[in-house]
Amino acid sequence: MSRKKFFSKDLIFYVVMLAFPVLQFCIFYIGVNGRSLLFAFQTVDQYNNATFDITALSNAFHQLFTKTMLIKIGNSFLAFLLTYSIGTTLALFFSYFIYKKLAGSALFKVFLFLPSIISSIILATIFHFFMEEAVPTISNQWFHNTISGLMSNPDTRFGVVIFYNVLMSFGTSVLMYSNAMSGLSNEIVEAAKIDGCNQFREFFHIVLPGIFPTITTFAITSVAAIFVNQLALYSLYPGGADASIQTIGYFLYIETLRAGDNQAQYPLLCAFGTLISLVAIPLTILTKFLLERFGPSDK
Amino acid sequence: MKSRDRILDKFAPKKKSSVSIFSIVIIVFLALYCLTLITLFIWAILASFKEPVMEWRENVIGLPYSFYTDNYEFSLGRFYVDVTDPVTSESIQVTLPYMFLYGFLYAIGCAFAATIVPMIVGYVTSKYRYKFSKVIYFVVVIVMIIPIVGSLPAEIRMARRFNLYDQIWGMWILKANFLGLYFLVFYNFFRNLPDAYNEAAKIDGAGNFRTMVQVIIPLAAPLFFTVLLINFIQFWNDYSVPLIYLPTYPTAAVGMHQMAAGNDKELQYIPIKLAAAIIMLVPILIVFLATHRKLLGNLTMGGIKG
Repeated sequence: MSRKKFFSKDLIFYVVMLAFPVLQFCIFYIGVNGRSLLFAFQTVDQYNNATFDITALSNAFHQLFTKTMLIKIGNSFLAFLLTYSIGTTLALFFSYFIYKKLAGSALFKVFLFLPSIISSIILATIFHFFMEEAVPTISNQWFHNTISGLMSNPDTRFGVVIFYNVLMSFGTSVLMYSNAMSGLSNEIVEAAKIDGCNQFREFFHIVLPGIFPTITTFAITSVAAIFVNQLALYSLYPGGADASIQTIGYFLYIETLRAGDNQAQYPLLCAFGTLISLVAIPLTILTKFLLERFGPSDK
Repeated sequence: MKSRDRILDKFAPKKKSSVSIFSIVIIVFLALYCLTLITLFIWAILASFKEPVMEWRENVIGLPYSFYTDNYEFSLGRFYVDVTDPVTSESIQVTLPYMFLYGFLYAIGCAFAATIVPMIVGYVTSKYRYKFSKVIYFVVVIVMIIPIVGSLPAEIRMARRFNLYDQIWGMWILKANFLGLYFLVFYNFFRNLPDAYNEAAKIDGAGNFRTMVQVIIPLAAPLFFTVLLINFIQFWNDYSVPLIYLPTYPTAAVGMHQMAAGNDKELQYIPIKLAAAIIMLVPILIVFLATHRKLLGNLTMGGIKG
């Protein structure tokens, strides 16, 4: 290959366009995660001098199996299972309704997207006070049943947090699913209709298999976020959430915030992150494999 | 003529109604969902107009006795965040207009960076079929399926090292990455765009850059603005990242968080906090109502291959 052909205009353009994004990726993804891994094998003193040892990793490993951390891990899984299964099922039904342009679909679309455009701190503030103040008052005044605030009651608070997360989860997913449904071939849908296919069968036998790649993508990103998801706890409980409902994502965020400039705390947090990643990575890969293996085929 | 049409209509096969039990069940769920949201907002608006001490004690769910607007006046007056100047160590009061300005600069810059970069990378990798394009696609997929948890401390340290910490422009650089769902959205869009556009531009003598700027980007403009708007709203509403990375540039969302979480005795009253929430709600609601048609436009994403 001649030198002139090798350095073609296309190649120069290609390199120039990708130079910044690739450099950014190398520094702020590879560099950051590499540094995080390194922190897990270090101890940092009060003058920010780092020395190699596995104290942080060993401490994190032992703390991981304490009751409080196991509760956080369990909460992360349970929250994912509940919010994903309920949220995705409803999102798919709602998306189908919008795709079919049934009565009021334009208005419902706006309502479904509304929580995504409002700051979580605003929604969480309103939701928190409604559950704490209004619901007990309604129960007392209308039904003569005295109850405590649902956000502070140990029996109800986790359920209420899940309800809030499901309520807020529809925006982007409904938008993506309904637009993916719009891309389905009209001929197939019409042919099925002529063959007597009702809406229920159309949804399960034509629409769901047709948008399965989009469902897979959302499923994978949701599984990947199991230990990152804070469940909006920081917004719902600005003063701090009770340990019994905390997730790993919330714990790591709050501890990093508390650590602030104190880099001596970083190794333990990074060690926790590294160990949790060892669970999250195979789990996500397994999800992708299972969805591709047992999901509907393109052929 | 009209009577003939009426007779024909009478004997024409009846159109099957599109309302089935299945759609009725969905409508019920949708109605419940909308009702929940409406109830929350109406209750919050009414509560924000209640006298915060005496009236609130006896009237949590009813209509306000009289529309008490002092809560709004008080919230606006107390909407500030105290920050410490990193150079002089003096305490500075950041007021609401500045919080709006910082929030706007943070949101618009980050949204632009987080939209333009995936768009350009999506275009280049889908239309220039070098082996490295496959590597980029593979990297995006791998990053999506390999979640790395707990790297926030390392990211803060890296931001400090590159002097990006506590700088609004620094956040723009931090957010200028091509990873995530929007890369797939743009990649999918450009891959489905016929190569004829590029070929025709080339025949007309346009170079690669001119083709991208004058032919391809205008075609992707509606998608670009949809993603830009979604990103803008997300960054405007985000308080968790500015809380950590921008200690001396509190955004409006951070201000709201401080007000909700603060221990100030005068701000402990729920109607005052709700009034602050409503004040914060208005600007973004106006943006949404003005742009919702564009925002809810065509945003499609395929699956992950690889």
